[in-house]
Amino acid sequence: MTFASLLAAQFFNGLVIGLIYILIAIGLSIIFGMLNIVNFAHGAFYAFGAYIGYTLALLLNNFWLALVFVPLAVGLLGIGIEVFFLRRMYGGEQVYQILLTFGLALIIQEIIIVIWGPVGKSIATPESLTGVANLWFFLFPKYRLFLIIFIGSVIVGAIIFIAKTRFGAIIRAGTEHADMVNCLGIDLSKVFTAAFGVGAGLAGLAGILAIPMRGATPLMGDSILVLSFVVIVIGGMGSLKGAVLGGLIIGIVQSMMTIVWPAGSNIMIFAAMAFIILTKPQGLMGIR
Amino acid sequence: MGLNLFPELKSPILIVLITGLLFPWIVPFRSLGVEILIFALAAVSCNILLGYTGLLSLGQAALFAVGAYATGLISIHLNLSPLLSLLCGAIAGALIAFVIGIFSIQRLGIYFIMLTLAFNQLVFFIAYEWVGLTGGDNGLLDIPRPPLFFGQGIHIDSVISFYYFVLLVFMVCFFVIQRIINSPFGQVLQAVRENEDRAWTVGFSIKRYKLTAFIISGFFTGIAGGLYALFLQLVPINAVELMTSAEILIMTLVGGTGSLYGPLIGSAVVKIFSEILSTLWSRWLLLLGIIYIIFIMFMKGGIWGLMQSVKNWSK
Repeated sequence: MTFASLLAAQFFNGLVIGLIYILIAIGLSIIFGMLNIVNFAHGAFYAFGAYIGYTLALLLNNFWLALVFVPLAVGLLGIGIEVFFLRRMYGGEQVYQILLTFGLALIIQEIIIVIWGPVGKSIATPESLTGVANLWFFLFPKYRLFLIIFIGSVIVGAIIFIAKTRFGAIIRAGTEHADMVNCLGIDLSKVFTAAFGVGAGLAGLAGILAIPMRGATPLMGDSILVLSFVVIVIGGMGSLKGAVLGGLIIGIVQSMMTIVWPAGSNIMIFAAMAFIILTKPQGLMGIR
Repeated sequence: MGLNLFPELKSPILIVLITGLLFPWIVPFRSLGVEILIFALAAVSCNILLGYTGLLSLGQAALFAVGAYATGLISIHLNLSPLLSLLCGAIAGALIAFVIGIFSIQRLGIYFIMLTLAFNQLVFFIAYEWVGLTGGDNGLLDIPRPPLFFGQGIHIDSVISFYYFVLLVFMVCFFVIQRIINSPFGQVLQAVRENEDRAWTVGFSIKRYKLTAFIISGFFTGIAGGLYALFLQLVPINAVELMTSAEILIMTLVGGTGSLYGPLIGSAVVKIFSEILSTLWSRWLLLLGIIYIIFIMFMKGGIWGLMQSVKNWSK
């Protein structure tokens, strides 16, 4: 059955893309929950992760080492941005905080072009993961299969971390009542910084994971950022489970729609986003 | 009595007019002047929402592009006077602003911003897909620029005559917007910005005022888009991109949201700055981004606010 195998392949492709959206959306969602801002620089973290990954993978001649260092590097960038820029804006008008992240995205993007040039870059799939796997009735690239397992575990790990650890509890409390957490004697500003760093690191991780599959271009963050907004809006802003659900829905719908009507998927997705905000602003699994 | 460095700030609209009249004779790039005025009109319209009503709209590109498409299509198919096709662009801009606005104002804060973003993307993908109407990825091409007044009379096909046509349209729009902002209606908008609950308590229908502000912004952004279509004689697809909304916002903020002159200055500064820098260094956007960040973080009043403080300080 060729059509069934096409459907299955598209479903799994959608799963891969959806998981990448989730990695980005988790950070966006935590940042929104804690700091109450929409971080427009998040797509730039993703692109920056891809490019740093490109350089590290070439330099170390080892994709796996790069995979370890990239989230750290991008996480540090996020921490720097929180400490030197965003922190000075807290307490001011929310509009200006959002516009600030807008400017930061522009700057990071331009820095990427200055360093790596406007032409896209790519790295080869790690040798152990080249080729395709035979999944009963359809063939699927091994690398994408790896992505499903790897990102899936990272996401499960992140959810368990936030559900079970003390730091996770602080983050959860912070997303609900930041002031209250502060009153309990927890230095919230450090938590903010850490949350921002973790969010940026996850976006960077998504970036390096995406290059063997999609390559890296300086503007790669733009479209994925806007789609990640859709993901967190649909799932519910500030909710992790919502980000997971939203990412899976968007990724799979987008991928399946390419069989029927590729452009229609975008129109549908943004119409759905508007519809959800209007009818159920807390999203499918939102907390507020 | 102290030193008064800027006595002319008392009647800035005259300064704008005189600068506008002289500009093409001072600055060698005449089409730069056209672009400044077009984006100034878009930025001033954006400021009706951002500066005066407190609404951050990411959907300005949609309003701009719909105005451009409407003007372009009317010019192509009916070959009407540019004045009439601009009017159609304005009405189209107001209509799409009505549609986007009536939904978006149902929500506040982030959700409002996300709604304007969703609608901007909707308009983008519809324009991208509807190749028969908009030309899709290639853009809407071959837009004629007929003479004013039905094939007769004033031709605006040279750069300089078109510049003065744009200046005329801009000045009329700017004057009207100024009257609107200074009217009781404009005062209510500012009350909404300052404290929505209080304005509501006093008895104003917040949503109706926000929606009207949206429609007015759409009307004039539509004109700016229409001028853009007549200027380029095409409508590129990137007119609908989110980046155009961002560009308009950057101009508005760099110039200053506290006044209608701010966005005008912002447009002039950003356009001149990028014209000069882009010949020197292709990554001039990086510098623009840094300047933008400095204004956002340290000088929220923008260039206009800076000028005001200099003026107050020198008194």
